[in-house]
Amino acid sequence: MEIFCFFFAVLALLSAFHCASLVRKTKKQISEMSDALSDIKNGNGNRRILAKPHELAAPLVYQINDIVLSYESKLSAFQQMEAANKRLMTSLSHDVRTPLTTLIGYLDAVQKRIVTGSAREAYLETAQRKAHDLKAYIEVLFDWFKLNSNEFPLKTAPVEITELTRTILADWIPIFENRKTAYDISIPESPFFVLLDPEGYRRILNNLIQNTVTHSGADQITLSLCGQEQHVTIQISDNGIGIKPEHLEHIFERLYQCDHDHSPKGSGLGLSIAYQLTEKMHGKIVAESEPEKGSTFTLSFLRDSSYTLQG
Amino acid sequence: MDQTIVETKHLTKMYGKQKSVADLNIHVGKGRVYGLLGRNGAGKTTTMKMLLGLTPPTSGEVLLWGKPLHGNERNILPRIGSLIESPGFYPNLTATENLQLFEALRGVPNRHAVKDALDLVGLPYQDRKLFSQYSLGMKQRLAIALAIMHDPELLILDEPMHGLDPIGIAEIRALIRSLCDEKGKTILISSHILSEISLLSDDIGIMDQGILLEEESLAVLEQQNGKYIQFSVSDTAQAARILEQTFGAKHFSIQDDQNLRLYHMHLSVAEIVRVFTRNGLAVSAAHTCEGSLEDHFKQIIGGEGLA
Repeated sequence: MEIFCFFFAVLALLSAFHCASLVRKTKKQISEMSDALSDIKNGNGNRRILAKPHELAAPLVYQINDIVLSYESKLSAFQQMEAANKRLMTSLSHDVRTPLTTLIGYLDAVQKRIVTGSAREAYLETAQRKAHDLKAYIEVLFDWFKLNSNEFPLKTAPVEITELTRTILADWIPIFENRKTAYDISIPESPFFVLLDPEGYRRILNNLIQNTVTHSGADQITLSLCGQEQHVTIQISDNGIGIKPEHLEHIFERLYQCDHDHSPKGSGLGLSIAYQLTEKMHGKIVAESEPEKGSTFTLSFLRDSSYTLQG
Repeated sequence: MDQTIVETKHLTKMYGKQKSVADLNIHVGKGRVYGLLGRNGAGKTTTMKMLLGLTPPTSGEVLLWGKPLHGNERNILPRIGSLIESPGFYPNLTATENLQLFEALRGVPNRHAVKDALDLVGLPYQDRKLFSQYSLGMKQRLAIALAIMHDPELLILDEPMHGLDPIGIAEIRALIRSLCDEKGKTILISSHILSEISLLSDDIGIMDQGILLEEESLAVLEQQNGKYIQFSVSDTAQAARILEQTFGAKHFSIQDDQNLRLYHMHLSVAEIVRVFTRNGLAVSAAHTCEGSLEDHFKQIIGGEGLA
């Protein structure tokens, strides 16, 4: 009997100890969690609470972490965007300053009569060209900011694409001729109706051609439009310097620039804008290239089904 | 600058009479990749060991998140993921089993931590292969998986590219970069390879014989070590026009009201200055900057053996 009593006493004592240690452990864990949580509350979204899988508190801890993580990833996406904008602002001030100062240089020279006669005319022409380049650059910037604040109005409606494409390309022909770039345009006579926003499409095409003209160094450009059963594809090919494979996968990213040797012009935004606009109009844009041989950009848009049968 | 996560104050480690780390003051900012560059035996690993409390400093102090490490190890160390030399894995267990062991010992932030970590480093989850059958590169990947498994805020990685093939190096580099850029982790890495550090780091600390010779952001170093000719002139607009008209220059940038940088290195500085002056511009300075990062480091450390 006494043995039993003693046995129970020991058992009670042991379980009391066990309970006490469990309480102590839980208390410590709670205080650790509370420390971590106040750190998170103060803005450290990277803080995690750790728990061993078999612990009692594990499901609770894991859920808290999930919540923190989901907010943190939203916040960090926002912060990355902000950092990109900041970078853009810095590079922008440089990108605008150099051509603008040079432009002023030409105008000053004209005004102070440093040059006269035909040289003066040439200076004015150069100044004008630079002013136009700057305007184009600023338009690209404007588009980019509008796209990124979701203020670019895009209304997709059935549009006849062959005539629209001809109109857009017509503006480029004098530029090609000026630069002595051979061009080959093939657009079918029959109409094709595509779901598009005409203004958006114009920007896409202009940006792609501008990119080719500025960066490829090509002396031949081929532009072709081709209607398929469900799609219409537009191809812009050149025989220029091409794009290296390691650059090719990044060219549609914003601010990505292939040549890092401080070459002038280029905001690193044109192709990114073309890509975003195409996506918004449910189209596709693909770039293929072989260094030293040339590049091909292919756009494809869905044909409007109600017109497909007739077209 | 944002919050400093890692700071050392006059950190010194003596092995006998030999100073392994001497009076070291490094600063690692939040959300940055800090590259510790130095030759073998420069004291990089010893420094990292002291940061993790694996070896006590002879004098000086380690501050992590602004708190001294000494006395706060229990609170601070779980927030760090580290890779120092090779961690002890059981050769007769698989990668997954090994990580599960550490999961039960150290705790993790969620149920799928082991799988996530293996996915990130590109190792298969619940593969049958034993650790002893792993190649050197796979062992290194597993060690990195262990370091990131508990999703720590700070990663301390000693020679993380060791034993990896070129594709593996590119993958791990991209992983480290994305941990920093997308998840906001703070990362301290060490390497004796200059290109490795310059491709990955935001800030660079150069160590030699236990001494920190330089601590600077890569952006500043690159700025200082570009290839350009800088002119300080009275009228940048006219200078720009002359460069275009007379020298056919296309690559130049206007820094501010007085300074202009020209990136055509083949043009003669003397000739340009002469033409500028003839056109009534006052040229107060012209200097050529033609150093590469590599030259810079060689000059600092004063010897060969890097890069």
